[in-house]
Amino acid sequence: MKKTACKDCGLVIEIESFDATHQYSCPRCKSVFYRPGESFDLVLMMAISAFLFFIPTLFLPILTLTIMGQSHSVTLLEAVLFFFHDGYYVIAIIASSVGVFIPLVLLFMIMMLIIPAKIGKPIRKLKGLFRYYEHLLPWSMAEVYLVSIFVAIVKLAGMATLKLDVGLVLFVFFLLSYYVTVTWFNAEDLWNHYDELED
Amino acid sequence: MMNWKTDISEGKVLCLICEELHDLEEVQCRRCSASISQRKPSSISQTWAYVLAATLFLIPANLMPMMVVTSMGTDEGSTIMEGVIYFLAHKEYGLGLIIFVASVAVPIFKLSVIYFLLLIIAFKQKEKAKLGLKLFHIIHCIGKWSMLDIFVVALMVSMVQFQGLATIQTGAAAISFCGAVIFTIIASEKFDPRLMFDK
Ligand SMILES: [Zn+2]
Repeated sequence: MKKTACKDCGLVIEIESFDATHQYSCPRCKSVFYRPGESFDLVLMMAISAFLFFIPTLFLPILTLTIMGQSHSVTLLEAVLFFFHDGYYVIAIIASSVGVFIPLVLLFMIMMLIIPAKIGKPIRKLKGLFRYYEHLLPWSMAEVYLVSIFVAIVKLAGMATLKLDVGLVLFVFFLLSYYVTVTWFNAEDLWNHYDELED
Repeated sequence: MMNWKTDISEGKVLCLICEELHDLEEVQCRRCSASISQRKPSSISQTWAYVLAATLFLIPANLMPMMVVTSMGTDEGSTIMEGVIYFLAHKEYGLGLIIFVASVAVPIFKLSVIYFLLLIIAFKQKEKAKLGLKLFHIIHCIGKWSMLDIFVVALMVSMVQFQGLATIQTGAAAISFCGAVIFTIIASEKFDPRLMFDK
């Protein structure tokens, strides 16, 4: 028996026999209020592989540009740092936060929430992390960043000769596995799991 | 009209973070320790404030140059619409459409929807609540994509740096566009759709 209320219209909902593999929607406003997620093992695996894809992109070149004989290759770290060096602080901070840093923080939070639950030792303090997870979620725009990479490449192809490097491929894999992790991660299941561990 | 049981009629408070249902007198969620209230506090006035701020930022964002390309001594600034026309002129219709939808159509649509939702509440048009909620879900899904052009500009600025030959700089519109997007996201986070359904 599960009792909750609809986030979108305030209707109080009672479910006699709750089944975590089903999707539930509100009888009044039709909003989905429960969506089943993948197993924590899978989510954890995806989160770890996202990290593994990310680390080398900091040091490997993303792409090499050539304009009239001058060549220049850029790593992700250089791209971000150059931005700061040149004084475009506001845009640099916004773009790199919502495109890269916030997704990384979210991945880290997911791991910090799942690992203790897996070991069977829920840590009270870590539960507070969760508040920040839900608040940060609207600010994570990894999928938009991914598409913008392709648009930028098409735009640059018109002004310079460019060669895509392995760093870019890894970065794309990072953003994709991040996106899958967040989609598969079901916060409510984790809460129920924590409740069971504490009982 | 059916008589629905809501959190208000039942004297319950839903935690928006972990979706646990509490009694009215509680102010902090016992599961995730987030502060809770029956409706988001001062939701309407805050939504109005942020949506007005976003509207103000959107005007310079569309009129001023987004990106300035310096190539062999000549500066060329381009506004969002000029960027779209560039793609169309180069027969990249798909990309032109993506940028137009992301940077022009989505931001305007998002703001109009938020105004519409606020008016539903102001004029107590409860029968429009379901339509309003549908639109609210739509802007929630597409909202992030309005950052696309900012990311493209940010990426290009950091990638194209050839001393003396070609540089790309962000224009004044970039910052006001970021402002518009950020305030729109805050406005929709502050908005509480349940207010549309309340008596
Ligand atoms: Zn509902």
